[in-house]
Amino acid sequence: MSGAAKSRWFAGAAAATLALLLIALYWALIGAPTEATMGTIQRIFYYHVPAAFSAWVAFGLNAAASAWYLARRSPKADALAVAGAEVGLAFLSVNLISGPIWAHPVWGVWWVWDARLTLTLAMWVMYASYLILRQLTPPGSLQPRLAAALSMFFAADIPIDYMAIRWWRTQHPAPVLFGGPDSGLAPRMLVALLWSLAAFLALAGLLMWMRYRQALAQDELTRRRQQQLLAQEA
Amino acid sequence: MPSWRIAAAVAARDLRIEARTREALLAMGFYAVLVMVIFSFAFAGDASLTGLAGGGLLWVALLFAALVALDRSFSREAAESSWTGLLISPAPRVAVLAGKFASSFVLLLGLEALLVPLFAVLFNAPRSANWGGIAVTVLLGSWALAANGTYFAAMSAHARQRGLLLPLLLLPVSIPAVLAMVEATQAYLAGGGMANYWLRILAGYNVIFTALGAMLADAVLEAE
Amino acid sequence: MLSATCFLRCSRLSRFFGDFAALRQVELACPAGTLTALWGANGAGKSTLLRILAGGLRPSEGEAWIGDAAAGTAAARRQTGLLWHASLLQPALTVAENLRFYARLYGLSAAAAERALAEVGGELLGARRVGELSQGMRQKAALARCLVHAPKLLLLDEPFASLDSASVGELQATLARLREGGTTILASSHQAEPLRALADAELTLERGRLSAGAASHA
Repeated sequence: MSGAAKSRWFAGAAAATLALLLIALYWALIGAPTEATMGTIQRIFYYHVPAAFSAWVAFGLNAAASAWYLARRSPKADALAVAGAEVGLAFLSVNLISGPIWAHPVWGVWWVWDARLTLTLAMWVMYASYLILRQLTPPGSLQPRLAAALSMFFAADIPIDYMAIRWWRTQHPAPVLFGGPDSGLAPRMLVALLWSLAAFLALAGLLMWMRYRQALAQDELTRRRQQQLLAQEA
Repeated sequence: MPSWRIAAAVAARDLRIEARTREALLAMGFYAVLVMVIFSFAFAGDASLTGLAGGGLLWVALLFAALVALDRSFSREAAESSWTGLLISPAPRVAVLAGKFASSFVLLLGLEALLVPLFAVLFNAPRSANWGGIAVTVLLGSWALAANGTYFAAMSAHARQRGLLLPLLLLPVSIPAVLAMVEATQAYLAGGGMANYWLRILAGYNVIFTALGAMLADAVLEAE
Repeated sequence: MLSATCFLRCSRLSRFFGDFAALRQVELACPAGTLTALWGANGAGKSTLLRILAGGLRPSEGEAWIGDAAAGTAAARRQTGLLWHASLLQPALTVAENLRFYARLYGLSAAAAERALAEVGGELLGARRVGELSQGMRQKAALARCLVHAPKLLLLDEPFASLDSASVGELQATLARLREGGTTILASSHQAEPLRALADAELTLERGRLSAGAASHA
């Protein structure tokens, strides 16, 4: 695909994403009815849930790209891996921050160590450590290799984590807090949620695409610089 | 020469160095005892608190000790650049990693042989505690920490600020294992309970992550 | 052109560290049983080249071959010994313990370690801890370490640095003997004399490139 064609696609995708975000915004703030027990604060739900979902998709792409990198050592795989990790962590942060903002007025506490929140926090720390690893290792063939290996550890770890934390919570039940984010979705709420989901996934995709292109451009730049150094006489 | 003999040679070398210098053991012991002393201020000798959180306390102390042992395992190779000697040899990377794991594991077990009785005494562990179960938990838990820890210590050896990176990489991935270690120990301190289930999780974790580390050994020990 | 008969060959070997080009398209062809001297100022890339040939570093571009094996493969490592400016020995252990370890690492018995120590005339050093040795004795122990697996290619980084004249003579004799035995040797230095006397050919690295007037083997 030529540079000009790519730019057109990108402009189109960006416009579509913007449209989706605006539609989702309308539905979240106006279109959806106000929730009976929690009131207006419940509307955070339309950002909180899609953010988590988008993060999981991004992390899934990171895992797949990392496996691909270990098999084929492809720079595209590495670019996708870093894009997935960064975008995923950003969206997970949105999820982790919006949760307590919603929880405090509704539950009276900022945080509970229930299964879902504990797992989410654990994942956040994992992918943060992934990015720190990338930051602290020298660029070259080493950094993508180590990061990909780490990602494989996460992929093995997260299912076990999920099982272990859930079992832990059945052993030590958290205080029962009613009115969790998923309880009782009216049809118009469901519509709002789906628009938000579409908008967030589009945004995540767009951001990953941008980061991916940037990573590849960085690689290309390095490669050309090195060729230039080789060609110099002195 | 089969890989296990190379692994044994690496482990034997590391342990021999440790026996001569005793650097790691002293630091490990120091940190672990320090943690226990500080916790004693929190517990103020109240026996019921041991029943509630003793498992957590023991494993925090052991985690500190493990981080020291793991860091030493690779920082020891900085002496006279001996790491280069390992790297340029034809020895399979898995064998070298396995040897490093074995020496860290043995050091940890050695420390725990002293630490667990000390813990029992200092914190008045209840008579009904199942010490056989706790021993198995300590064994499985040390394996988990040493196995992943060796892998991530090798990974951090390439980076700047190695000391910061090792716990940052090890602890998140270890969460399910640490959860299992703490819960099993806690259950055994109370005499039994659901400890078996936790031990199975821990054993499964060890199998999966030891295999994963072995499979990915080349990624972390290849030349730059 | 790579001569098929040359034991050590490099083609377009380059290595970058970020923006810094340590090696630029280095071409090399050393026949078996020869000693090649590698000159160059500090930072010219000598150590980088030796590390790549030993398998301790991967090239960014290009290839290096040791016999039939590509540099960095297990087969190449088995045939390559590296004498580094650090001894690569554990200071807390004795020379004998260190050498026995390396023998095991290369899949050999303890006898190989003893043989290597005898080869450099270091039998008396066996029971001494490496940390207690003087620079010259440590160098000797390190040389024994390189020879444990009887490599066909010996790479030496500044072998004559900080040696007294007696040790220099000993090392020269050992290298000559190894060369007679068919070992290919590539040694770097930025001091000329002791190495020049031994060299069959000379190469000069200047800022990562082999400068004009480089190598021809007679």
